[in-house]
Amino acid sequence: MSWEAVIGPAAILPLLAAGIRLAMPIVLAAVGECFCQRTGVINLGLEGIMLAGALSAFGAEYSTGSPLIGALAGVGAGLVFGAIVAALVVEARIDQIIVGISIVLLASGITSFAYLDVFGVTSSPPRVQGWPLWEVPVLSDLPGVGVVLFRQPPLVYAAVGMTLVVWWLLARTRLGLSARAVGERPDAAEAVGVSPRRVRWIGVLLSSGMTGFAGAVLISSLGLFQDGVTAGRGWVAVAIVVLARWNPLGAIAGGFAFGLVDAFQLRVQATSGGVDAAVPYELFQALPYIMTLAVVVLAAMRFRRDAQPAALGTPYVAQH
Amino acid sequence: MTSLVGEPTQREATAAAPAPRRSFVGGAASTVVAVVGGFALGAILLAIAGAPPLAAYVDLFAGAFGSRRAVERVLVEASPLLVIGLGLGAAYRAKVWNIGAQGQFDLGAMAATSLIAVAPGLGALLLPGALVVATATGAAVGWIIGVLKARYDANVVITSLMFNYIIFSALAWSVRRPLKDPDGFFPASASIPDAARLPLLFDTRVNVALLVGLAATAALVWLFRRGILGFWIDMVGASPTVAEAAGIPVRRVLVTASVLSAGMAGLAGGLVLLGTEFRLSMTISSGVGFTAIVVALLGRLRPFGILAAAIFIAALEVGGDDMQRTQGVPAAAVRVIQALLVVCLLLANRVSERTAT
Repeated sequence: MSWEAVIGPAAILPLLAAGIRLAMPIVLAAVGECFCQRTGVINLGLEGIMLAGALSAFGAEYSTGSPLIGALAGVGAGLVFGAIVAALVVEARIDQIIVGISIVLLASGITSFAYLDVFGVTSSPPRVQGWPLWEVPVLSDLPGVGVVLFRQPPLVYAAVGMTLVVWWLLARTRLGLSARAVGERPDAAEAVGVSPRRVRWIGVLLSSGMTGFAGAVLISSLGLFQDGVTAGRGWVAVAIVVLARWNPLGAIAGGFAFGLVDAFQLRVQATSGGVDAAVPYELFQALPYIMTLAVVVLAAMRFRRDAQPAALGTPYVAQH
Repeated sequence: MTSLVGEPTQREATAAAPAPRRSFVGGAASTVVAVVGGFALGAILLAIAGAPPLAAYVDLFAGAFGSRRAVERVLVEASPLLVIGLGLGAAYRAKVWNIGAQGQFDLGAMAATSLIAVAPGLGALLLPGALVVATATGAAVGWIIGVLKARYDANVVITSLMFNYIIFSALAWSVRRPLKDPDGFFPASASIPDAARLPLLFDTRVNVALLVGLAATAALVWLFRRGILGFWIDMVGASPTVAEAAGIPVRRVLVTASVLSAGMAGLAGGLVLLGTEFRLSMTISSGVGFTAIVVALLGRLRPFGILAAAIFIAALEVGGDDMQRTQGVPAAAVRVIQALLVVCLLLANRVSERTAT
């Protein structure tokens, strides 16, 4: 393996472009989770919800041929599971961590079962087209930046748009202010007329819908579905929220960092000697997770928890 | 009502988690309701998949209990679930959400295989030595996770999960290179020598791992009924600040809970390697680390409940294979039913809490 082939002048631009593409699912999930956690709810089911969104998108696109319907199906699946999470966490006030873990178990079981039941075990997995790359006129011809930023599948642009909308919602609108208030002092927020219950439902549904969409984006770039296709991305997204100190813009940066590492390790594997490489390829497979672990530890050690929403993880009882 | 500091009050904190101490009747009743509810929902799923639910369930249970062979298989399957589940139950009571049992299991199996590979001449010490190494390596990972939580409040779910992926990569490499059987085609270790294999019980096909599980059950029952650590674990789980104020060494308890659960997962890895699989491969665990989470939750974090849940879940796993053969329903349906049982139990617990207070 030559470093030239991985980060040399000819390779660096496609690497960055791939990094952006691979980062999108995590960015979407992390930004949505930022909003959700700001309202005081930890939605730990992201991994399962992303899987459910991925399968729904795959199934919908496979049967209709339309990636758009696939994307909508992904969002829909996310919302369905989000409703289950919200019912358990906001209405029944069951411990949020346990609910999250249970939802992951449920969603991954259902997707595994549904895929096997519908598609069965095949030697070559069924594939879908996904979106073709869309080249932004004029801008995509810019040297360097053009290739990286402006020749991406439309879902990438949609995802960037969504994340900016969520940031704006949280930072600049009344809903965002209400959301943040509920996450800090739900009783005070209720006293001024905000409904913590409604806001938390919105938070959970938003994060789940975006994560379902993230699953659709993942399928679009991979072109197929397999058991466990999300490979821990949902969990990484939750980790990034803490690293980003609950700021959606920080979550975007964190997600991109992960995407870059992912693209890097894939490229290394592709250009190295494969099974005969001196450095085992399994090490590179583990790289994104090692990085996430290091990041979680670093964030926990360095950042004080004052950015954490005060009411995070606490069920709220209405005070009528 | 949240307090001014934003810290959940005692009532709030205990209200939502599966509290270990509750009336036996209330607990048993909610478990029964949960099981019925879970199977009812599962029946809907099976119907959607085109299999007649009643027939599928009959096959499921016949496959698990219909013959002596089947019952033996269930007990063999239940042993690692029990060992891991007990450890997880203890950790979860301290609110140490160890999701990394899968990786700790794999690591334990790897360590045991490594010991046997480098020191095959240990004779009678080989078997206990391998199990000790398996437990120790699992416990080491648990110690790291525990310290990260105790010192820096790092999220245990995420850290333990990342270890899962990292350890799995290490496992994949180890069976492809250093531990690979030179005479074999597949990425797997050499067969475990007879000296290191777990003996069988009497003339059954059940190995002594079951005894290990039962002994662990007894130990944990004692720990939580009489032992001081059990009391501390429950206090820390209910409210760390109150526990600290009461003089309990919260950090040490968190680390101990993590070490205990991870060590038991590692031990289970050694037990499965030396008792059932006899060869290290990438599929040595078949997801048992995650299934054990279901066992711990269904057992409501209490040792006897976990014992019952381990057998029950093992029956579902064994029966599920049969159900797949006769009904054509993917065995993954069993995973769905298990998850549905957990969700239904969470709801049933909640309802019984509301009606009790």
